[in-house]
Amino acid sequence: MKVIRIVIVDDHPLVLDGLRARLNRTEDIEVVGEASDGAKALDIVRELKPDVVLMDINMPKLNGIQSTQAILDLYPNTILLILSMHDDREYVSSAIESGARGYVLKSASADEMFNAIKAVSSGGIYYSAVIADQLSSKSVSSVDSLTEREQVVLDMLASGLSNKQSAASLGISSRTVETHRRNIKKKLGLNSTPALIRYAIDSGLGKPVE
Amino acid sequence: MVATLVNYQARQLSAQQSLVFHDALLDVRKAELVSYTKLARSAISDVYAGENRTDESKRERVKQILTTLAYSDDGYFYAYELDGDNVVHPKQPYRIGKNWWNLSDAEGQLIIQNLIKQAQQGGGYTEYLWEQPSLGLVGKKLGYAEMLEEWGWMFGTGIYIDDIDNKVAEINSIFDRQIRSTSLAIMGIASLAVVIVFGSGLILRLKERNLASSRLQLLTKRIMDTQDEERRRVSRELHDGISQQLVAIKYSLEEASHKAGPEQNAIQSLISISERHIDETLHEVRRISHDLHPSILDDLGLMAAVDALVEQFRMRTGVAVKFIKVPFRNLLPTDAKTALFRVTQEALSNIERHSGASSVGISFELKNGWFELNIQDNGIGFENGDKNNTDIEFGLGLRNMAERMSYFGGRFNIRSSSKGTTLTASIPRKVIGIQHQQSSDLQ
Repeated sequence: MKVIRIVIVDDHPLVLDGLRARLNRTEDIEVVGEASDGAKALDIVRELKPDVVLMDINMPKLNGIQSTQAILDLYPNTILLILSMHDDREYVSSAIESGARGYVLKSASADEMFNAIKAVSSGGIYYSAVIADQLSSKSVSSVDSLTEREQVVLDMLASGLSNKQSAASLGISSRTVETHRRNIKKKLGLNSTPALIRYAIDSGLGKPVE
Repeated sequence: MVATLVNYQARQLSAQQSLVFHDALLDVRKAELVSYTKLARSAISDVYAGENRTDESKRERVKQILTTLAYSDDGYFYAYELDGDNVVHPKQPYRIGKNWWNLSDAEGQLIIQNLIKQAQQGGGYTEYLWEQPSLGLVGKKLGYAEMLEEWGWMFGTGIYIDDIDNKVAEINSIFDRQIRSTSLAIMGIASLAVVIVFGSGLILRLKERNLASSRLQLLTKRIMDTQDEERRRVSRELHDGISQQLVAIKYSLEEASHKAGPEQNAIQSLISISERHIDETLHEVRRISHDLHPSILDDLGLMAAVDALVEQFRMRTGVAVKFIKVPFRNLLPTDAKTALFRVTQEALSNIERHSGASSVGISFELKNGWFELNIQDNGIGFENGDKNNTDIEFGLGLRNMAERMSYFGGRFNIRSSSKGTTLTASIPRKVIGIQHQQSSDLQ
């Protein structure tokens, strides 16, 4: 069996050490790199092209959800597995929205963690059992929330930036920006770009931060 | 140990929060008017109740006394007969002897009629617009009136209250420079200030008093902010520090168990007991951290935090909740977000304890330049609720909510009937600003 190459992103050195020791005990898994925040994670993913990134959520600067989006925008083939202390449903759904393929609690047993990594690396998805229960009790909600990235794109649109300008400023392709816009329209139930701009401005977006 | 310590700290914090002390501060201005009136009454009481004068000469003497009892540029006493005839007006003597029964201000308030009505009900306040003698401008005034029963006179005094608003900016900077010591010390000074204000009555000038009470209002805002900030800090510390360390310890124990090998039964069972204890402790620390300040509020925003709150509420009470979100994150600055979260929390806890509601609706909306929170239930309303021992706490909760909103120039409104209660809290759009931070971080 092919060894799964892993990068761990966590800002807590003790946890990082513990995880490395834990994961390296399995022959199928090799920890090839570590990063202590989202920005460093981007660099290391670019450099090492790992199979799976284990991503913590609570980190200074870019948090794990934002980092996941950023990594997937640039390297869509990377597999992201969120590793977190939080078992609230909202964290999990945000992780899914951001494109992560699984969500495991840090307090999970070693076996569960191995299973999760193997499942996502072979194309599946994985959620800790506790979380799967939470997900089944979905709340009644009127609208889908925009992801943070979608909201930034919408804000740039309301500020008068073109597709190209937004793409350049975010360091992603115009096509990705266009996809974001399409998804935003779908989520908000709007069918034209002018309607989208009006909606964004009515909502107070597109203004400089004071 | 850690849990007990933090628990204690948390209790201390919430006890502080419900401190009654700002109740008194809000009423300082009104109490002032009453004490002025009391002083005036005692100044005329000898004459008014005296035996050795004719009624006519008593009235003349009382008019003189009230006329001279001016305090500060704009503080004076007026007196009217119950049909609206003016008898005393030191600043606008042309009013004396004429009838002002139908006098109304620019907003249509029947000033004299209102004052007489309040006086006849045993003394009370009324707000109206009136020309400010020292500036010659029309300003908002808070008047207070009482009766001189025997003569059928209403008499009273008033304070210009928009004058106070105008000074807030000035006071703000003074406040910033002056008050930076601990909240306890400030509270000491503040209570002392209140005592001095009451004690010195007419001597203390209006301006100084306004200064003191606005400072106190800012002070309560600062105390609340400090508490929120402190809760956040402790909660973060628990989550990012202690929880992570516990997890790391768990990993080390696992490593130990692996190294010891499966045949070491005694060691293996010790390790597995320790692991179980760690899991329990982790759970406890998470609970405390969450109670102090939900990190979800910072990480995922207000909608997600309220969603989690609603979920817990639904699980605990079985009450149906409909929650309508806005599709955005991070539209509000942290303190405004925290304020709306705490209002929601407080409202849900009131609903759970007092209302007996079977369904609740929560909605957030961006409309007409306002970010608006609306919470309604189909309970019995608080007029009919169990008031015996929960009343004070309940009232404090409402006041806290209203106060939190007022700091952001927001609005707070609550309507209650036997069919249910509707609460509205809104923050003006000017506080709303999307964070550009994540986009710049990515560059």
